[in-house]
Amino acid sequence: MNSRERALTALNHQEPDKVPVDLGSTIVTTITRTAYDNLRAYLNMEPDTSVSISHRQMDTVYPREDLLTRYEVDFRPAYLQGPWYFKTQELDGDMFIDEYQLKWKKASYYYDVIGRPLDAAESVGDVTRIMKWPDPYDPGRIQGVRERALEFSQKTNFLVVADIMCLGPFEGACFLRGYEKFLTDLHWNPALAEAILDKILEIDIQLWDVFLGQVGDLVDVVAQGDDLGTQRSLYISPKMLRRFIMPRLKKLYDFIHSKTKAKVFMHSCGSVYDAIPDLIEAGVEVLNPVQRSAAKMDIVTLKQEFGKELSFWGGGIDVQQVLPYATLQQIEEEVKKTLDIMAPGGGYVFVPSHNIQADVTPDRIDKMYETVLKLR
Amino acid sequence: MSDLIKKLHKAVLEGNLEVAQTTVQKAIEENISVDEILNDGLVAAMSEVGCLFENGDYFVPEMLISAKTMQACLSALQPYLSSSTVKSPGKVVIGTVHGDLHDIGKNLVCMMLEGAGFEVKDLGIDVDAEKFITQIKEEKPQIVAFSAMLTTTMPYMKTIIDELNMSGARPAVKVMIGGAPVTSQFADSIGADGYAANASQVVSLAKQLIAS
Repeated sequence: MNSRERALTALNHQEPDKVPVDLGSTIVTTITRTAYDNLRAYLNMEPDTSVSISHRQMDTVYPREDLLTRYEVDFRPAYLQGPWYFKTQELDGDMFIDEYQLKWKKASYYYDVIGRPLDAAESVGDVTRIMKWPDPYDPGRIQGVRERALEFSQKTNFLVVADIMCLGPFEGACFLRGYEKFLTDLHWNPALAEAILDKILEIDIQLWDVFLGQVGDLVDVVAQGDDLGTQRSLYISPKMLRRFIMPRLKKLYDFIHSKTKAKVFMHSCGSVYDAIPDLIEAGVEVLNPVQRSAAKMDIVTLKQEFGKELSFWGGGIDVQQVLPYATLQQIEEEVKKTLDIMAPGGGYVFVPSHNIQADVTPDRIDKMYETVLKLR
Repeated sequence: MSDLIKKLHKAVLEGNLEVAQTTVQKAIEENISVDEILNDGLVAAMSEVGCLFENGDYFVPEMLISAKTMQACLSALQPYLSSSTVKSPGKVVIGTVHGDLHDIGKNLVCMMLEGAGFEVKDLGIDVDAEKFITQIKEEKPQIVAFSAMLTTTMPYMKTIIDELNMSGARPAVKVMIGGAPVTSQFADSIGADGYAANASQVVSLAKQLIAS
């Protein structure tokens, strides 16, 4: 089997010759720059001086081909470009303002939001009055996008993934309005909450319209994120999710399905077990990152209960509680255990449960990938 | 318990801001003791909110609207608090550690502590050891609390404890820590006095630490 056949077999819930392996096909299944540089040095690879940053805020990279070849990665990314009309506003003190007018500040390795365009919103009208929203149809976004995807889809056997490039409705609303305010709005100002969600959804659909217009026939997986979970539970109750979020996710995924035959991959951190049946109903076919350290995210249960309908892309090793601290032997055991549980019957793609962070030493990363390659 | 206090309790529990505010005003006008309004109305309701959150009946939005309702009532009570016999269970200095800008969890912790009657001094995000030490010396809290959301910023919690030790400020305070990647084993390993897994457990932990 070639990479694409292998991955498609797995995603169609049949057992491929080997478990497909990912590194770097999306901004949530990759590696941070520090860990990447350390890994290259450890593997005696030349420094990647023209490193391609996949997500500035998370400090993640699109790893170079030599590393992807070494780890036999079965996937390659397709991604949208930035618009022409908007230039990121750089501010003193390691801060910048993005296209959504979110103000980001860097602390240690990452950027986090410290300024929010809908902070002062009070009414439905404010959603479009006090904030200038992105222009999805700016021609800059598609420059070279189809050509690059064609390179992979015609000249290689890799499975091409359309990478995440817009805010999920829930997470986006929390970013733009502020977590405390948006979560309070759900009770105290539901009309405002819905107006924010609807506007984000509108932009998301338009962005996917643009992106899939370029690569819809070339990709087999479309990645979209919306963080619904915390460490211990969902952010909001299943009842609230069904009222505010699920109908909008369904609309988004229906739209994606109408534009491509690709499968919908959804990224949500945290404990999302209680939302899984609703997510499947909304059109999610692949779940990432499978954060095993969060409540109710035991992979045996997930595989048993949802493995027939849902593929899992992640959870290879937990990056929060295991990968930074485990011994090399523990890593080997953990990878073996994961494959024993997740590989049977297909429906599994190996990658850790989120980006490999700066605090993971290169010997651990290498041990993890070498073990997968040996056992898969 | 008077009907008014029952009504206030219910309004805080349900995050019904308007009803809670008018009820508090009425309770003050009817000369119900500040002690009773605070403890039987607000604190008792927030303690129930904590239980409901713990049991998975309440989620973050419900906790937030109850806490905001409680805060509004507390402000209305403020002018009467100094002349009352109400005694705070203690003072907590809290912040998200240096290198980390996450504050949703930390803010919920502040609200739950306030809801239990604690005096809370919130230092915000990206707080370094020096600032914690200065504030401990100034505010003289019984407890100092650190939060971290990232595995890469967790180690800084140990740095703060080490610097607290060196500055001589450590014996005067109990240290409690929390945040998504933090565990009780980690808390033990860096010499913290306690760990809480969520905003509701923090209240009982804080009381326990002060009593010990």
